[in-house]
Amino acid sequence: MANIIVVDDSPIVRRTMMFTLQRYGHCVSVAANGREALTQLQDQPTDLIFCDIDMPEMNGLDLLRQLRSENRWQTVPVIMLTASGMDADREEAEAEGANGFLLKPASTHEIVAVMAKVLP
Amino acid sequence: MKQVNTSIQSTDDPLTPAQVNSLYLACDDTLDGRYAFTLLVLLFNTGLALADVRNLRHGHLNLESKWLTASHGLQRARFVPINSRLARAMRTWLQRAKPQRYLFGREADGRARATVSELEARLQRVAMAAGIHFTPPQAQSTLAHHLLHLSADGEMMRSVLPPAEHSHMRLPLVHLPPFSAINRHTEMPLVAKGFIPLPTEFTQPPAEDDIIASGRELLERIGEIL
Repeated sequence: MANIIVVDDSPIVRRTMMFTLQRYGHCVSVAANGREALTQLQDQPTDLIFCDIDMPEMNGLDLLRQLRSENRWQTVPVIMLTASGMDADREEAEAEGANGFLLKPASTHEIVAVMAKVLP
Repeated sequence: MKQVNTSIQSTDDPLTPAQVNSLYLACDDTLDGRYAFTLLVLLFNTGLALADVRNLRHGHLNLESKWLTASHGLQRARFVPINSRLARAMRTWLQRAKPQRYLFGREADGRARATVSELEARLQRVAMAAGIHFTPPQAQSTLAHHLLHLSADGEMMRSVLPPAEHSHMRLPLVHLPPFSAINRHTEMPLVAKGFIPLPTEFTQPPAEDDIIASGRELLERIGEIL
């Protein structure tokens, strides 16, 4: 079982991801933007983060930079949730240290496949 | 059985069908009550955000083919399928209120575009009357929750409830000399780099494939629940 944070400003995406991940027995918390996610990261051990790119207040790329700049979170895998036609954001996220990408809302087999790649 | 801990913000908590029904029942038979009722049916059956709803105009709604077009930003729009329940509610609303420009305007007459806050205030009045804590994002969460329990998965959610960033098309842009004015069709300023998007009614909805057909079936079942 992994401790996972889903960061997305869309309630639909949050609910879909949470529903799928819980079915596989994972402990899931959600955040609506990068700032909320940072608050949660302070309070709980986290094994994996699913993170949207385009969000208000603190977007996914800013959150990713913050994570990669701090020792305690440098190695936490981050899967970016992307929408079609946003290749520039995707390339930037890859350069900033994202571990994978999912088209959102992702299907169950897509989520399972990407998790198998990044979790031990 | 594995222990599952979930922390989730209260604003995400889905409503039960009984709670949704209580909201509907709190809408009286006045024009304002019908406005709130139709808006609630729209939110619970499409997952649209209020920022999308405030832009809806007659040309964005096709009750025959059961699609609506939701604008997002200056250049993007997406098609959202609608079910029979919503189509009925919209027909009644259009016949009764006869909104002129915006389907959910500042007033029922639809002459002026509503702000998100004004739409929220209408919903809050209903929620208070029903004695239920309700925020608009909960409508999205509620729809997603019930779709997932009807066996939808992410791929289907993508087709029937596309996130705002998932645009089916980029709207063609028309170049105009930059000057400060408001376009009467789009209500958008004509100063943004000298370009304006064409109104979304000029575009065609996606072809009905198997995924969309399955999604429509689920949405019809949602219409029986919410």
